Amino acid sequence: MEQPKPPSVAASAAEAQNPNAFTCELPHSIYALAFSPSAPVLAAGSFLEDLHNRVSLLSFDPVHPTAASFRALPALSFDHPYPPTKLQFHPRAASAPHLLASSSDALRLWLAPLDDLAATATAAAPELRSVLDNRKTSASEFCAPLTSFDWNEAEPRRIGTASIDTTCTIWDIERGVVETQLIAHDKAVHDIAWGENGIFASVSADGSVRVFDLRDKEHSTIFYESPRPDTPLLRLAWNRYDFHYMATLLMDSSAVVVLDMRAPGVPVAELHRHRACANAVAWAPQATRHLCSAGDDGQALIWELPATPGAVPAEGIDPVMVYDAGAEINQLQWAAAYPEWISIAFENKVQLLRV
Amino acid sequence: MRSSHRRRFFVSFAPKSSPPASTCVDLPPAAHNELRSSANKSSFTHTIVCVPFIMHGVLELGTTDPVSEDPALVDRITASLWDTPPRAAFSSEAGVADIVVFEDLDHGNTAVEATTTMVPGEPEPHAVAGGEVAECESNAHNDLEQITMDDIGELYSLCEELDVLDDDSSSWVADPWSSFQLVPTAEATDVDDAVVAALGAIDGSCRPSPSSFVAWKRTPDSDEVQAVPLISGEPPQKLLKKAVAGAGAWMNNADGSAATMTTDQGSSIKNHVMSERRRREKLKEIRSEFMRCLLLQVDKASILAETIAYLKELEKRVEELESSSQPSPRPMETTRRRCCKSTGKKVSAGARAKRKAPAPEDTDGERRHCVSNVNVTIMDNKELLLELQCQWKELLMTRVFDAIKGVSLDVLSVQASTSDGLLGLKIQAKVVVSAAKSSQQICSIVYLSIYQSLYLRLFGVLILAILLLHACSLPHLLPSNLG
Repeated sequence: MEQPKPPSVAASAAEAQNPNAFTCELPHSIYALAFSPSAPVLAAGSFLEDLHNRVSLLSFDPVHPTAASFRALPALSFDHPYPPTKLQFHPRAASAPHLLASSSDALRLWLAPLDDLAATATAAAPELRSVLDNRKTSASEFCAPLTSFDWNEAEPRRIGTASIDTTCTIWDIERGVVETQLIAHDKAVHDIAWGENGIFASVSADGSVRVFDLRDKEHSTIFYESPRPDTPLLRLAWNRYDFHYMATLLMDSSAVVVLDMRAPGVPVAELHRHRACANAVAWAPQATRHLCSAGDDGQALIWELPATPGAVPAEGIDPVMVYDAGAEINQLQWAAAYPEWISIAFENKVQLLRV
Repeated sequence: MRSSHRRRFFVSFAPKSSPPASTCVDLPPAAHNELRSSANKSSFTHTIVCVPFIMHGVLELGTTDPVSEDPALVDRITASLWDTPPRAAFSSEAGVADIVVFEDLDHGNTAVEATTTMVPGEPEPHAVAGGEVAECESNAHNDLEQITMDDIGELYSLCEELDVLDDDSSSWVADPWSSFQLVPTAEATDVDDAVVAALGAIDGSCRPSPSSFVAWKRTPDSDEVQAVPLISGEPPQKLLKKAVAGAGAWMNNADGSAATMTTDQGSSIKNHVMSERRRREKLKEIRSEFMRCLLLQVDKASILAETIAYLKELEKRVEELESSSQPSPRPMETTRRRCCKSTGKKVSAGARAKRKAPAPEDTDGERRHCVSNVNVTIMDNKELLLELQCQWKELLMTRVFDAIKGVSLDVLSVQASTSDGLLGLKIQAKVVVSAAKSSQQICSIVYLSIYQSLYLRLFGVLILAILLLHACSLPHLLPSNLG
């Protein structure tokens, strides 16, 4: 095993020294990532503070990966207005059309032809299937930007979006209408995540994690509030293998806060080993107590929580594994379809890491 | 790996007082029973053969497995024991039979425990353990004590031969002097083999796909070094903060750039908003102007300055209207008649005759009744003096000055006074008219009004004059065109 490398080493040199990490360079800075559940394809969204952005589809070989097999498919790339804040494929692997959802100023559904990746030379580019926009219904002059969204895996016709106008909107994508819209927080909503049975949680700039139930829209439960007053919470990840656990990130903080649904208010653990601010967090898709986090220190850390909440040591939990990318890692994805692969995005590069 | 069917071989040594020369001695039945009872400490023990040792006892071989009769094997065992003289010494415990137990293990792991003791009831007396050990050691030619581990190993190899023999039948014959054959049973080791194979693979194999991650180590020294260059370049959580702020979509929307269909719709909405905003701004300006007009200022100096400005503005407006408009014949006639009547009775004969001729008689009579006193005096240098006294009423001053303009007179001085509702007006004028002098005269009028405390009434007249000019300015200006 190789030791963590100093940050001055370039990413290409890092790749040469680590034969199990595969890098693909793209023309622009990358933020949004998404694994496809039905094809060995990774979607990457550019981040240019401009109207013209681009979403690229990258193919990889999950069984016998090589540096050459992890590459972009130029025929399947398409233009996207504004940088996408999140990308996600249809969660059902057996769905006939390969739908890709993106959020920026509105929620957009794209039809991506992933059936025959070998014929990429003649394949058509992904086409825009529908645009889900609040403007038509509310007749307001602007559509507030969407900060994130989540596709309900149990009921894939539902997508929940988070917006900076303090609302969470539940869309019915089959009919293209708003199923419900809730004023979720006092300030902008930064992320949303589905639990089970129509329950979703959201984090906000007001520093709280709230849990909503679609069967009881009048009430919401505050599960956590940031210790410093009015410190915004930026990201939220709900463990899909064990729905008791959630993880969230605070603004300007290197901590990853792990929450337990059975003990609201007090976090199970605060993971403090990042040497700079944390940018992304994801739960292991096929394990109960494992999660991965990435931050501005260029490190991706894999953590294992103790079996019982009382077993957290006083000095804090040490991560189990570490990967050093050499630059600020902005995005992290750990998909259920490929549990042995983690994808990270930093600068203009996308990397596949074997767990 | 331990066998599920463990076999035990029991060897007991009982000291016996007999002549060493004899190779075979018949045991008393009681002694034989005692030996057997002491040897059968564990259940299901079957005796194979009893071999008497001449000096110190009998060797009894037994097994827990069913055995069958095999005289040849018994002979071999007996021959082996008698051929090898014993040389081993054994410790003993009083009153306890010594049992040598061989545990059958496939891997050849053998546990051997051997002890010797005197069987109770023997003719020899019991002694303490130490004494008994010393007694054994002092007896140099004791055959039993000379049994060595090699003999035991050889015996064990003989037992192993029993495993190879086939088992035609299994029966137990309770005859101490007959021979028996040991029959082994097959052992199933499939599960054990599988487990062993798996465990063996664990030791020897390694992961086929090593991870990209390495084990985390705590490096406080390198933390300080590595943290600085990564952070210094950019603010923390740069892209994440931009993403949660809407990824720039809000700002771009506000700028009004449009590329998609929905954005076009937003742009049209924005245009409407801008037009609405402009309309509201216009209304706001109008409203503020109206409010300013409505404010009445009580400061005399302010009123004076405002009045002067107002009069100048009205003068300009009058001139513009004079130069630009083309009057119609009928309004001109009406205005001229009114002007003629207002100048009164006393005028020069020529002027009076010329102006009076076209006027109707009825209108002339009505005007005479209204005017109580009007005097016109012609002086040298084409100057005239107009003296007017009449009932004060609205628009009177306006009419007087309009008439003066109509006759192309240049006003030189004005004296005005009022008492008991009557207006006294004395005007001195020349025939030639110029714009500058008119303005000067107007100012004089204002000053005189102030001196005689008429400013409030004059102000009201001026406001009304504005309304009049808006409605009737054209007819009033026509006589000057004729002149």
